[in-house]
Amino acid sequence: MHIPDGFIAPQFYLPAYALAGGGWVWAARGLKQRLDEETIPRLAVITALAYVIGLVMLPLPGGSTGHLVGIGMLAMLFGVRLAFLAYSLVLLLQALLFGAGGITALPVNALAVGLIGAMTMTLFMGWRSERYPLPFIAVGAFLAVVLPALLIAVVLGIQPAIAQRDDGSPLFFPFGPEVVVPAILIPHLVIGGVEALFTLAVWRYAKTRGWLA
Amino acid sequence: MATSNKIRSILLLFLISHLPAALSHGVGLTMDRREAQVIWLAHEDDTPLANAAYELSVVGVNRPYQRGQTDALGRVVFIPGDSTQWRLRVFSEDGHGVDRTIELTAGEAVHSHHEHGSSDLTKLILGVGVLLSGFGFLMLFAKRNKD
Repeated sequence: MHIPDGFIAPQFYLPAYALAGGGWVWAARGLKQRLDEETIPRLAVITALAYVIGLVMLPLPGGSTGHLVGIGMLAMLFGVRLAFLAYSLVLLLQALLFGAGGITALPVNALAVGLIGAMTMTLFMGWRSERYPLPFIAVGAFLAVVLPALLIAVVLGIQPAIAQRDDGSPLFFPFGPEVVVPAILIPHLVIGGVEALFTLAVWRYAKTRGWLA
Repeated sequence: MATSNKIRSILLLFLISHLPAALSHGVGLTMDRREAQVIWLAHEDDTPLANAAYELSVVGVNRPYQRGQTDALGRVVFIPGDSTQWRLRVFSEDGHGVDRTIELTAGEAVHSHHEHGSSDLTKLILGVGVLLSGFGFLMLFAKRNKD
C-alpha cells in the first residue's frame, strides 16, 4: 500500500494534504501531556518496528509480494492520535529513503492506513470483551489492513475519471476500480491474516509487560 | 447496348477514382536495425515486473511517445532519437510502479544504469536511526513520571 508519485491527480492529493494536515494538527494537540518518559521509548521502538516490517517483503500466493503494516499494534498500544502521527512518520521515511510511496501520495497513504486503520483497530479494542479478547484484536488488526487497502484501491480506481488528456486517455493511474480493487484487496486479505497473528503476538507480550491501558 | 457501355464506363471511372484509397488500406512494412534503449524493471526481490502498463514521454511533452506493457523480462525498449530527457511511468494493477525521469547521454550507444537495491540495508538502518534519535530528542521535552 505504498502509492508512488505520479499515480494520483493533484485535484485529489491537494485536498488530501489539507485534510491530512488538519489530522496531523489534531493528532499533535496535547502531545506533550500524552508523552512521558515511559511512553516515548516504547513508542520509538514500536514505530521503528512498524518501519522495518513495512519494508520486509513476504511472498504471497500467485507470485506477488506484500508486507506487514504494523498499524494494528501502534493503535492498540498508543491510541489513534499517536498511531496516526507515528505511522505518518514511518510513511515519510519509507518514501524519502526507499521511494516506497510517493510524497504526493503521502496524505492518502497516511489518512487511509494511519488514520482509518488506527481508528478501526481502536474501535475493536474498545469493543473487546475481557473474557474473550482475542477475536476482537484479531478482527480489528485484520480490518485495520483490509479497510485501508480497499480505500486506497478505490482512490486509485477513480483516478481515470478525475483527470484525462484531450484524447480521453488517463493522465494518472490508468486502471478503473473493476481492475484495481480485486488486484489490491485479494493479496491484502492474506496480509491482513498475517497481520492479525502478528498483532496478537504483540498483544500477548504487551499484556505481560502491562503496556495495555 | 449503349446503356450497358455507359454503366461499364461509370463503374470503371468509379474504380479508378477510388484506387488510391483502396491501396491505402494496405500496410507497408520497413525493416531496419537501430540502437535501442532498454530499461529493466524488477520487484524488490529482483523478479521482473512483467506485463505492467507503462507510458514513456519526452520531458515537457504532454502526449506520450510510447505506451505499452513491459515484456516477460520486465523490459521497456525504445529508440530515443535525439531526445535525452524521458519520463517513464509504470503502473501495475495492484498500485505499484514508478514515475521516473531518465537522463540519456546524446549519441551514446550503450547506457547502463543499475539503481536497484544497492544499499537497502544502509537505508533501513538509517531510517531506524533517524526514528530512534528523533524520539530520543523528544525525551528531552518529555514530562517526568511522578512515581
